[in-house]
Formats: sequence, C-alpha cells, structure tokens
Amino acid sequence: MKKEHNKKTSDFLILKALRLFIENPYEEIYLREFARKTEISLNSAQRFLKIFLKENLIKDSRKANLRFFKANLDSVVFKQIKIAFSLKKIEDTGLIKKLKEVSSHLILFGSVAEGLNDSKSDIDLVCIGINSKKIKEIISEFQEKINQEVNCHIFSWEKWKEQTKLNKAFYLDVISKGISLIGDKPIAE
Amino acid sequence: MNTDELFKKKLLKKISIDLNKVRNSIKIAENKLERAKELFSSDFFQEAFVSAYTSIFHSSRALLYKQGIQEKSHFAVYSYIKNKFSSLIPKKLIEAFSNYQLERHNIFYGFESEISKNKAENIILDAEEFLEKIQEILNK
Repeated sequence: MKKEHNKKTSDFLILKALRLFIENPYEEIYLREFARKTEISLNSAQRFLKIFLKENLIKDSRKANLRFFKANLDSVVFKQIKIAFSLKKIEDTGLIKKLKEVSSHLILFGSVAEGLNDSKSDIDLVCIGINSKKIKEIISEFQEKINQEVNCHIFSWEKWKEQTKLNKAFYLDVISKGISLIGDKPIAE
Repeated sequence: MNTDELFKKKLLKKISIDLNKVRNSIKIAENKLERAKELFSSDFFQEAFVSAYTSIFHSSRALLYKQGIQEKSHFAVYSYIKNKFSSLIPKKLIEAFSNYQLERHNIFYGFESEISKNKAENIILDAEEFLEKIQEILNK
C-alpha cells in the first residue's frame, strides 16, 4: 500500500517536472533553476533530469561551468506527450462538450497540434458548425479560461467545402496535420 | 461511437432482413429528393434542406435494412454508415451527413436557423450523390 502511494507521488512529481519542459520547450534551464521552478528538492530534480535524459525527452549542453537542459523537440515521444498535455488542458475547459451542440467538426491544427508550441503560441482551431454567433461566444469564453490567444476559423459546411478550392493549402494543412476534437477529419472533396 | 457500442446502447438492433423495407426506403429517398428540388425552385430553402436531409436519412436506412438492422436515432444511422461503409461511400458525403444532421436538429429544436440558398443547393447535390452511391451498393 505504502509502496503504491510512494509510486503515485513519484509519478506526480515526474509529470510536474516534465511539465516545465512541455510548457517552455525553447527555454534552457540549469539544475538549481529547474528545482526552484518545479518546487522539488535538488536531489529529486537531479534524478528526474537523469531519467528525462535517459529517455531522450530532453537534451543537455554546457555553457561556461553550467550544464543546461532543454526539451528535445526532435523526440517523437516528447512531442506526443506535449500534445497530450495540450489536449487535456483544452478538454478541461469544457470547450469540446459545449461546442458539440453547434459544431459537427472541431480541429486543432498549427503549432499546438504539432507539439511545437510554447506558452505564447496561439491555439489554432477550425470549427465547422451551424451557429457562428454561438460558436464565437463559446470560443471567447474558452479563451478567457485558457488564458491564451485562440485563433478559431469558423465555417459552415458549404463554406468549408469552398476552402478545398479557394484555399487548398490551408485545407490540406488542417486535414493532414490537424487533430480532430469533434467528429472525424472534415474531408470535403 | 463504434458499432458494438451502438448495439450495446440499444441505438441499433438486429431485425430480420426485409427487402420491402429496403425498397420502400429508397422510394422515400427518391421522393424526398424530388420534393427538395421543387421546394428549392420555389425558394423554400429551409424546407428543401429538411427534405434533402430526409432523403439522405432514408437512403442510408435502406443500407441498414439490407443488413437486418433497425436504428433508434439519426446519429446511429450516421455512425453505422461511417463505421461500415466509409470505403464505399465518399468520405465527403459521410462528413457532410454529420453536419447536416446537426443542422436538421437545429431547424427542428433550435431557436435560430437560417438556411441559405447555397446551403440548400449543397445538400440537394449531396443527397443526389448519396442516393446514387447507395443504389450502387444495393445493386452489387
């Protein structure tokens, strides 16, 4: 029982530690700074960094006498974990549940969907629905909750279909790299 | 929702195969499509939309009857078609069906619904293609 509790605590701390790299993937950080920002002991910080390096989730480099650590955006696993964090964050706002009433398709695309975003990145969405006024209200509420810039392209189905001709590159980008949050990929040609 | 879940949640149920039901569904789909065109030409776009949607629904239903399946909701028909016929029916029609289903629900139960000429025209063209594809599958 105690062993299981310890494991859960340790897993929670690992996630908390990894979150710093997930949310700041372009920042370099040294050991003490890492421990301070994640509010974990120096010993634990050292142990976690060792694990992340071993798993190839982060990279290290030396500058003068300091060893710096940074997210490894070349790692497919790191990027997928980062995407999963973003999806959870979006889902926790209740956005998907609310939009389901007025939207047949909601697609996350751009840097967040590719796991390349940082805290300043916009959240790019394509929403295909039936009531743009209501969709705008829900998106605006979502933007306040998530405290990030949200760039939502709203289409009716027929306007979305037009994108296959008028804005093919955009259409293909959304279809090929986007992640479906509501419905399937909105293939329209 | 996958097909097993649809059965588990009783949104679909197995019935005996009845070819009369298949034929009747296709007949209704054809009539509704014709009616949609008439309504469209008289500028009744919302009514044309509903009629074209009903055509899509009934042509899809014919496929379910052919497989001995009865649906309990529009969503179940769409989901079954998506799960079982996405290799035979163009994806663009299946995804359109998903959107039209939401629109139809809004027309019947929502407070704000405006169907443009463009929207009505689109669904009529899709309903026509849907019916053709389903007849092709039924005739195989």
